[in-house]
Amino acid sequence: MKNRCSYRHKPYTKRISQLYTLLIFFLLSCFGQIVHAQASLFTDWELTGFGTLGYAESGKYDDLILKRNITQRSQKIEDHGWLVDSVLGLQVRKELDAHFDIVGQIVAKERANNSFDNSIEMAFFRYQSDERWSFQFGRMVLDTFLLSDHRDVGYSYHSVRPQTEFYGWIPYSNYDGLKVGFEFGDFDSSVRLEAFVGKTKATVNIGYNDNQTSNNYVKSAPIMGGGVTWQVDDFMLRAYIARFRFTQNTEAINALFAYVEPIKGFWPEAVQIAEDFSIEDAEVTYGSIGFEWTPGPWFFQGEFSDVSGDYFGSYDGQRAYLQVGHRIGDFLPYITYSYSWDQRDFPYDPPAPVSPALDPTLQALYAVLKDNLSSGLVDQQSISLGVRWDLASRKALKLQCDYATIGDNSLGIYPTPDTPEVGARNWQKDSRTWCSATFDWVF
Amino acid sequence: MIFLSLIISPFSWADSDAQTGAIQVIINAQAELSSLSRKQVMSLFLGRSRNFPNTLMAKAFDHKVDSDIRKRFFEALTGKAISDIDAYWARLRYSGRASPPKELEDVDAVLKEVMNNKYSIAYVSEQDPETLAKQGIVVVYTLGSH
Repeated sequence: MKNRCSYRHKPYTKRISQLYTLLIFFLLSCFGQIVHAQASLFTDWELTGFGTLGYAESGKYDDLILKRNITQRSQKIEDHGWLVDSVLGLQVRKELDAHFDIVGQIVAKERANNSFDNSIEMAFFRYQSDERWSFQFGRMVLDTFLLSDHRDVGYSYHSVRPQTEFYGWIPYSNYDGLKVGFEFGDFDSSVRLEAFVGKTKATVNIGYNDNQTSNNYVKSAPIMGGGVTWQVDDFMLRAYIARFRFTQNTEAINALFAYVEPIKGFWPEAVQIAEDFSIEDAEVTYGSIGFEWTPGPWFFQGEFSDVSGDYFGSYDGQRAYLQVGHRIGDFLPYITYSYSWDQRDFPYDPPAPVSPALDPTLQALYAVLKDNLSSGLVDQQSISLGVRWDLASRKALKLQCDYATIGDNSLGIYPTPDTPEVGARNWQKDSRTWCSATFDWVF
Repeated sequence: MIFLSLIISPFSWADSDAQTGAIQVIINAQAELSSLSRKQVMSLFLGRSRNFPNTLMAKAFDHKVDSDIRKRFFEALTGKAISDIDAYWARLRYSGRASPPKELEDVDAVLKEVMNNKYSIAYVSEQDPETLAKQGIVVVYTLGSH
């Protein structure tokens, strides 16, 4: 049995921290020199922004809540449908010279933990050494999927929100670290290679409740990956692979360990189950490939991703979607089909009889542990129909209806408010329809 | 309050007095290029290329975001609606990848920039090439016709 509480990666983490410190020192030194060199440092800043004002029928049903992603609080979303998609972002950029620029972005939106630090999506410094090489340092948005680096900017894509089956599970939106890019090609086609390393954190709301064990703080270090983007005329292809390691367990998992400890003498496998739910030092790998093709008025976009973790509590499965749209003047109707497969199952037997007095308690605990897996399962599919209306310069109105079929016990994104204190939720495969509207703009 | 004021800011409809006619893509004569292909112009104005074909660094300049000439230029160049171009730039800008061409106030500012900056590339409604040449400006591509 693997000891999840060990600190076998500590020396590695320490080396990464030392590397960060050295790099921060080096880059701050460079930045200091540039500040001295630039008399116009405090002028010519680009101040721009984006926003979305939306409304979704998040609380339409008594037994399921529509969420945009798992960083949103279920109860808050249920009661305030306008919070699902509404966002306001501000960005500043300063071009220091032909080679250096700095970018900062702050985003206000619904989050389980809405601190100022969490609102900073970007704060990085870039050095473009020539037309091929670029180096970025600081906080950057994760760009491992086609829409993940601009998913808060509703105006930049056609649907009301990035497909929930594909994007809803992703806990992280940015990372603090380094990114290196290398571009080559000509006017017919171009290829961009990227690699990054860093650390990241987020608070996700698993389940329905808004308490300490439902709002799980997750932290990963290192997170690293690399990808390639190929652009030729109206066609773009991007492939990425990334890996991250959770540094610590969540409050919920720590509570689970405390809960099973007293009963391990009666049901030894309970400790095994808790350890398999543990995420400390566990690693997750995800790969994706996506394309966008815009021949004339047509629009095609699709992605496929595979996520696999080396522990039981991880996501493990595939996700895919395909979107087709056609522009007719200021209107762009579209249809999207998206799917998420989750391959996990609960491979444990109920506890063997011990005594008539204890057996009901142990059986109830087994049911809770088995049900716990449902909080992470994403086994669902959706068909979305919508239309984007570009009603004015850099302003768009979107309407979209989603018909979602959620598989047995799949409550990983759309939670049920019927979560009992003890016992299983027993969600059976069923379908739901939600409609949403957004007004998106950039300025 | 900020949210509200941003939403109710005056809607910027495109100019009603839309102009017609050709649009010329112009560069500084010191860039030492006599022509560009449509694909090359598109790459430079969509931020996909940072250099002219002769490897000289290129910096594109744009007209005001709601101007009629900008709409006509990008729609003729790319075959896409201007809102698709704006969405494309929103994606690049707010992911931190690239910024759109800097907007200049009017045609005089555009001509002045190209005249003084050998790395610049911009576009204007049809002008007399000889007059432009006297200012050190070369027409490298023409979109549309009379």
